[in-house]
Amino acid sequence: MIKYVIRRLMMLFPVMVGVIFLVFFIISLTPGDVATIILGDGATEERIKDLREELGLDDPLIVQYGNYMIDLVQGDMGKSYSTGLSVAGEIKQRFPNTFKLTITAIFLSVLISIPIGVISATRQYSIFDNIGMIVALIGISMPSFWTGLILIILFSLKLGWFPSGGMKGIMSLILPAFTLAIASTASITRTTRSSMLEVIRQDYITTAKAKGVSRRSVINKHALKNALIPAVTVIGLEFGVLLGGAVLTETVFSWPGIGRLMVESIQRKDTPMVLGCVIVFALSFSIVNLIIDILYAFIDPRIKSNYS
Amino acid sequence: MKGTVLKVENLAVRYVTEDGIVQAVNGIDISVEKGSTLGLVGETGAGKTTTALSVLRLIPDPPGEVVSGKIELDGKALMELPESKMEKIRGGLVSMIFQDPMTALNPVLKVGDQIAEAIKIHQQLSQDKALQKAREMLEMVGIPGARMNEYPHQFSGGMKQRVVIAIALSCSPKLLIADEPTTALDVTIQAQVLELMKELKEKMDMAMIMITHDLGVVAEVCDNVAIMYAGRIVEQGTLEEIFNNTKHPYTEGLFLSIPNIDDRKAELKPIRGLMSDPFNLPPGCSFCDRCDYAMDKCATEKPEKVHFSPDHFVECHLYPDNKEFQLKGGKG
Repeated sequence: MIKYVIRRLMMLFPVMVGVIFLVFFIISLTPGDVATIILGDGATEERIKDLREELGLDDPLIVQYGNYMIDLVQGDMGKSYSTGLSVAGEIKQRFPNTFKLTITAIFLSVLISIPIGVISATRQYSIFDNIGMIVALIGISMPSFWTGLILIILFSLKLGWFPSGGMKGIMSLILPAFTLAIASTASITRTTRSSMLEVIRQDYITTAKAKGVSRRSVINKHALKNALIPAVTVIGLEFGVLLGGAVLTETVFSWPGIGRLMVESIQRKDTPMVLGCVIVFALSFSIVNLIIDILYAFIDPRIKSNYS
Repeated sequence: MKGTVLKVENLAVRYVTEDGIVQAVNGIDISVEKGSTLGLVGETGAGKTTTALSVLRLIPDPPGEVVSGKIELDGKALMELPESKMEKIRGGLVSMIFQDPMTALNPVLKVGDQIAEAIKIHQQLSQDKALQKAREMLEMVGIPGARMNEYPHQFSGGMKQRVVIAIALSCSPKLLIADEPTTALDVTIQAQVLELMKELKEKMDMAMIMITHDLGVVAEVCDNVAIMYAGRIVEQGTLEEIFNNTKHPYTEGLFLSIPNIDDRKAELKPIRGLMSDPFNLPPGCSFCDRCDYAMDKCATEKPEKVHFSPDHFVECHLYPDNKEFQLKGGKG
């Protein structure tokens, strides 16, 4: 097990190198000159030239990439082109906010989706099931920036229950977390339902019933644990979707997290800052999926025996 | 005779599906005496498993539906019991062994816990005591007690079936229903498992219903035999009566389908055709299309029961008029 975890952690390195490489070159393909953006349209030719030299923008791209990687390995993520602040410092300050938002969202989704999925499966084709699945379909179909706006209009402009943006206390967390959770809730619900439906038709469920196990504990003890395996996979993947959604949701709700930082940095062509954000996102996603893979072992003993 | 454990009267079960109604069981009567074994024999789709599941009231509903019938287990009328009382009976008074041991155990629970669960429910023991008893049950079926902390995937097929047997017997049921317990096993393991079941059955003085399509298994363990075809019991009697005084053409067909070990060159005589479409059973005898003895009225009239002894009856048009009629034994 420990060997497996170490092997997986080692695999993070090539993944990160690949991610940085891709993003680095994609940013360089976007139009606009960094020096001009920083200095503004009124800057003289001379000053722009000096700045380009200072930032090393005249070097070939591959050399720039090499320099960035060398600094990164030494733990230096560089300075923001636009503010001059250290990228690492900025991320350290913003990351907890994004973490708080996504973790709340994933908890919300799991808390809502697993029970609904289970009840829908055990009462297949009932009214509860039908309504649940229709709501889930709508949930999947709504883009989070749209849901966010609708929630703001309804709950903060009309009803005035929650603040429409910013980060002040628990009340301001509710709307963005909920916005972020909606799409994932929907897909986790559907997965839970379908895997539950498959599990309750298995022979071992009949065996459990034939033992005299009550209906409730057949579902909670015998079926749910088996049905959770596909559900947990989706939860891991949904986490990636959540991080992506955080970029939009944070912008809509002016949430001072990494997602919003990244959007702002892209607009300013602030390469070091964008790369810093991407590294954090990629790392979080990889680590969450590693945690999910380790969780499997605790749910399913057959998988555990493969890990040694 | 020490009294009756199970009495099933006029049981009819159907499955309502989108494609039509499957008449799985069509009015059967079964009774099982204390300590005896009834063999329920028939080909796939004859309604054997449906009959067994009805006794436990585990017919999946929907699509299954018990149309009529009385089931009396150890003096209790099961069809009238509320679900909560039924839970006490399942695994306590009657338990069941399933066909495929590979899928009958929950893959994410330890085998010890799976055995202990039944014990905890029916004997109100603490977790520790139930696990202790589970260990004893494992050892009784020939698996070292230390393996109770392992998961089903760590066991072979034969071992899994032993675990299933341990679960079924853990609360000393009065009736054990074994649904083709050896079909999914290796031939070498089959004999072991059968021997084990026979031995435990005698030790615990249980009655048993052995569902099978293997007449070899029947000869080995059963006292009485009921031959099922298309949801009806077409012939029933003691083991000797069925084997030595076969009356129904279908029963005869089953015997003729067994390879003869003394004459390996002899050609097998399989029963021709397929079982009648369960969506659309014929108005007369269901076996009519495949029967070498079929007469005109077989296609239109349901045959009545004809008794040859208190235990032995057959449902066939050959006999009411001529009780001395002899089947050809495959010579004709």
